[in-house]
Amino acid sequence: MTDLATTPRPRRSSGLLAFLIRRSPLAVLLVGVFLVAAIFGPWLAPHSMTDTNLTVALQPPSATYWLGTDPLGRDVLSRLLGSAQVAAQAFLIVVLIGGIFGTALGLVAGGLGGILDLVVSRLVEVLQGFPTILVAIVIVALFDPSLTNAMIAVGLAAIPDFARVSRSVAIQLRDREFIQAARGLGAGELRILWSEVLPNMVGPLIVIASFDGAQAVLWEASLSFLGMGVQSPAPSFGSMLREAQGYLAIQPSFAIIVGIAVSGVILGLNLLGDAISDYLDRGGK
Amino acid sequence: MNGREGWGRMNRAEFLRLLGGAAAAAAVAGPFGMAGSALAQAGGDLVVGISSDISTLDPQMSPIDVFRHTIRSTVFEALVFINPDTLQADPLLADSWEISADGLTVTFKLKSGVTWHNGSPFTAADVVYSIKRVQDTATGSPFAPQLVAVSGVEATDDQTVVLTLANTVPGILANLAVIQIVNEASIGSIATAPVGTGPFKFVNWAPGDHIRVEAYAEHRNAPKVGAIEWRIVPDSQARLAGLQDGTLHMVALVEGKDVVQAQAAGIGIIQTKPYILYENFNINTKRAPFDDKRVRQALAHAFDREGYAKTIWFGFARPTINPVPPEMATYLPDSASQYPFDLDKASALLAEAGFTKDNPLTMEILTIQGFDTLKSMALLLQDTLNRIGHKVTVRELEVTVWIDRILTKPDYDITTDNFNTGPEDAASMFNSPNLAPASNVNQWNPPGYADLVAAAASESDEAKRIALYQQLQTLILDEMPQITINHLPLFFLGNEASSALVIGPSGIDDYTKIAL
Repeated sequence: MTDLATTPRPRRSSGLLAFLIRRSPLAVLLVGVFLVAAIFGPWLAPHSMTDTNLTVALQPPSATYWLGTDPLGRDVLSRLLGSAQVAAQAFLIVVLIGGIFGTALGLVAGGLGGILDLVVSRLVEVLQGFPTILVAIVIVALFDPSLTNAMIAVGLAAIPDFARVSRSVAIQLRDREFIQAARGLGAGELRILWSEVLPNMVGPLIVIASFDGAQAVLWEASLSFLGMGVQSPAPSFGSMLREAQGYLAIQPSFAIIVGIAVSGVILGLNLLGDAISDYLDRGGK
Repeated sequence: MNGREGWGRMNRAEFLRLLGGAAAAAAVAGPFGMAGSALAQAGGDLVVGISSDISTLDPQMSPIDVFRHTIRSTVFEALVFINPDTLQADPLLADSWEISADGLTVTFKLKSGVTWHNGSPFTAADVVYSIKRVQDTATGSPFAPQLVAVSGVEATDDQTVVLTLANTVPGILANLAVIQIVNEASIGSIATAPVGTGPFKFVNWAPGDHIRVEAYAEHRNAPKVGAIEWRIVPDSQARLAGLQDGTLHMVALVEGKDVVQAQAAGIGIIQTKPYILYENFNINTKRAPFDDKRVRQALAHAFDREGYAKTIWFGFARPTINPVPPEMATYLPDSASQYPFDLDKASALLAEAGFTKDNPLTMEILTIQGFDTLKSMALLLQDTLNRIGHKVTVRELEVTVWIDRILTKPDYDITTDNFNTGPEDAASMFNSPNLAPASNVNQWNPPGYADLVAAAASESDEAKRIALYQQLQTLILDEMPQITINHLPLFFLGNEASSALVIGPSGIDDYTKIAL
């Protein structure tokens, strides 16, 4: 991943989407569906996401309830659309926390070097040492269980990834000619980091963001599965799986449908990350 | 998030694992991961799956259900055992008893030759100590209400205990059946290393994992199994899987969906009478606005008991608003169907109490982890109330935290709960931790209630007694200190051998007849 970073400013080719469709049509399809669900879910949902109706509990897929109903008679499709929105929020929170703090740390450490680099690097290693699940439990125990709190824990765990990548890119760039040129023109170090180094690490950061974001979706599901994420009655992939699991032998379609949805989203995000990585490796051709 | 490679990239194996139905979540939950390693030796050990852990091993301190199926039913004994077939008291630590003509003195002759698990002899002094300990307000025992009428207890010799009652209590033996006799010498360690007289002696408790007891060979009714190990398996699907692959012999206390799935899988079902347990909402009636009975009545109208029984319990539950089951002679006729599900009525009552869409009722419903039906109950009430414009949240708590919020502090609005109906005797129901005038979970004790309970308990004329209990039911149905939802049987799942378990109506079971 580091070699691509040395290619200054990969062309923002308009061929990215075309490349992705060619390289991994499945990824584009899955992520496309996920994005549509996340953005337009509330308008697309055929029923309420939270209204219970015990007269139609645990129904198999039908014309009225396309993906069936859960044990409280809530529409599974509508709740999956809501879950997609929650997952997208998880993605954004984690990538924002990891991206902003991680990149800032890595940039400063790699770009300025010296004692600062040493301190930041050790700090990042310490952060990396925390098991996410434990941090999540502590944060949720101290505050209330909620999506934001759970994702702060996951976001903290994403900081090292961004920090390490941005640091290594910054180290490679800091003595390059165009940086020296900027320095020669009188630009301050921080300004150089901001306007010369940072733009050149966007590619690798996007790749990291797509993988960490996919992990965030999975962590959101895991923590909600354990009751530490989104609270009822708001839907979430994790809490739906948890509900479905108790009815595996009674209404298998419920668990299967939710399982496919979660797997599809994670698969799509990971494939997309791979494809973007390939695209950048090829210099955007 | 493993630290090795950063967690950005998954390798193919990891990815495949994730595909397996979000197995990551299951792996984190790890409900059954270690069953194999700690697996008991076949032939001697009965392995039972339970849904949640307990907070103390002191049998006088917790009425929580998971308790009855573990320590209380095996390590300790009470004076008597209520026989589920006859509903009469059978001797346990007491060999025989005599109730005086005026009904105010009960003399127990104790079994001789009984020893504590530490080898010291069991005597009348232990009984006196145990009863006084439960009565002592400093102990804070939830069983204290069972003994409110007991004004004196003394040992006249090593084998004789005389109990003096302030008033006649027809159900006194049933009340005593839940008071377990503890050992004064080892009382300091009772919460973690209990010493009892029961057929099993305590071995160890690994919080969150298992509780283990071993057969006490010197017991007069020596058990047929060598040991019992209760595994804490919070996940119901994992418990079913455990029964199927043989890592569990029995699963205590399961829900309707597990019974349906067990039936389909050919797993044996052990079931008690249909009214041994009830599910309910406890209400903190001391806290505004729940001190207003109109709010409590509104909540009762806002829950669809019929729909809940049919769908969440698959018809195994019998909806009712009255904790007293129709099977009891004291039952108030036609009361079970009062407070039908009626959101207009609920809205109207809440509006009377000042809560409308513009000034919504804000409340938090607590529920205990590991009890899926109770969580469904909470979600249903939340949804119906939110739909008529109120602001209800649901909070799922780990059982020890829940006990702290409900019983110790108490600091809650409303909680889901389930409760033993108790022996078929209305006296013990109105002296249960849910309804006892002296102290109850609902913090409810209106003027005159205590006198009425005492009068009903001591009335020996059957017709008058029934009239008094019906008056009490009319009172609680109007005041609605707790919202009763249904009556239920207790369900156990297990193999052929475990069907020898004797499930006692008083909340104590007999494990000695089970042979593997």
